[in-house]
Amino acid sequence: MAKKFDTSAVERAYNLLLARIQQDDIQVNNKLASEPDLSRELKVGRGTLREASRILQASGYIEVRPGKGTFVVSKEGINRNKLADWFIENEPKIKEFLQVRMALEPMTVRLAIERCSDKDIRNLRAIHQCAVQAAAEKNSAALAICDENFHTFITKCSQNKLLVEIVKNINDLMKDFRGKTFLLPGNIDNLIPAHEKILEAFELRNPEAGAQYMCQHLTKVVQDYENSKEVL
Amino acid sequence: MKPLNRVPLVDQVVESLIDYIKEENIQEGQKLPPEVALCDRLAVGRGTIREAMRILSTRGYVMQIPGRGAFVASKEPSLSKWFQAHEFDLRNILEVRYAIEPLAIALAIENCDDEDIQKLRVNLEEARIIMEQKEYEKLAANDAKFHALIAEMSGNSLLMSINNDIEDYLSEFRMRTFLFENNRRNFFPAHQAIVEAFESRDTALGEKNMLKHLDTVHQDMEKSKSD
Repeated sequence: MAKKFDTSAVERAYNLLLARIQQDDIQVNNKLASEPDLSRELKVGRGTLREASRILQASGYIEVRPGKGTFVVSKEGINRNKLADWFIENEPKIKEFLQVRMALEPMTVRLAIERCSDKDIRNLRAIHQCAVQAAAEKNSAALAICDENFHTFITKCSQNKLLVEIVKNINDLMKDFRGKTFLLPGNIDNLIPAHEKILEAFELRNPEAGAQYMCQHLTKVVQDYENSKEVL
Repeated sequence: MKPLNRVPLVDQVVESLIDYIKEENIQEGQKLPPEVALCDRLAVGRGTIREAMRILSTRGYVMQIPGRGAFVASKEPSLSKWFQAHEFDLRNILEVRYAIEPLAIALAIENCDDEDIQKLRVNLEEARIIMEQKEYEKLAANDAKFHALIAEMSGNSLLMSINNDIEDYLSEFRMRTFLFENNRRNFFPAHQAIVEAFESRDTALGEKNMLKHLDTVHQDMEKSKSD
């Protein structure tokens, strides 16, 4: 299965790390313990820890300074003004990868529905279930991971090695965007019904419907992005 | 009077080496004489020998092993077999190109200026000369350049980087596909039609001509498997 991380483990690590950041004896600009130390103290794997740190960084709590360590930048997390700045600053880049996703992903779904096994569809349903839960809990960090898993798994089902490689590169660029876009409640609510429809197309084995739903989903993502700039 | 047709030196070396490989006393797997010896025997420079070896290896006659030399890979190589063996990879590449290239050309036509179009014209003229002078081994690079130019003109840096990813896979295919006369013949008019869409700044026409180009590439690929 394409699921890169155990979502619940990352969530647990996220909560542990967040609790630590919010301890009274921790000040802004304090350095956190090193990765191996934290991994031992919190009893979580380093990969899981790194993923949780990434989300905390996207949410504005910490900053990873290469070669120096991880520092607390805010005890309250994201600052909406800063979030707005981020969306505006990164607009050209975001537009670029949304354009590319609009071109690639409908075709990817079409191929995936033609080529996937029944077991793949059950796995995709399970991945989607994680997202439903994360959305119910308004857990934007977990949702970002579920969203990535959903799209990555569909790419894997397309059985096109080149696509898998390309999407891996795009996902690296998308990580920040996904982490930030789900900090806005409206975007959380849009994701579930969109993924649900795509999943239905898989279950009905209807490639054309799948491509069309993916196209609608991404069109909505573009709109959400435009709205994100306005509501902030 | 019929104009004389000048045969490029490299082609002559290639033909001579193929004759040599086909001689009865040469076995598959046998090592070919070293570069220096070949330069001597054929009275040409090292650059020409290297170029010829590259062509022979693309055509399946020779296998080059770095540090060890060139070996006879097959006395009767079959290009079709290569296309059959790589069918799966080629199909993957084509699927991605079907999604990416129409987007690239639409953005490129929207964004391009006269200077950009001039670059495409220069590339097209280069292709015309290559065809005229029958220096077909240069077609692969010309073709790659054409599509890279369009990706660049799209102004989308992600598209450029994807084009590079694709190119890594595609170069092997490009070198071989132009060994077929049919595929060479289809190449130039397809690129020409695409450049025309740029000149009339017609996005829809650009997408249409690009898709038509890919359809033809697809058909050519199928044919190359069975020729």
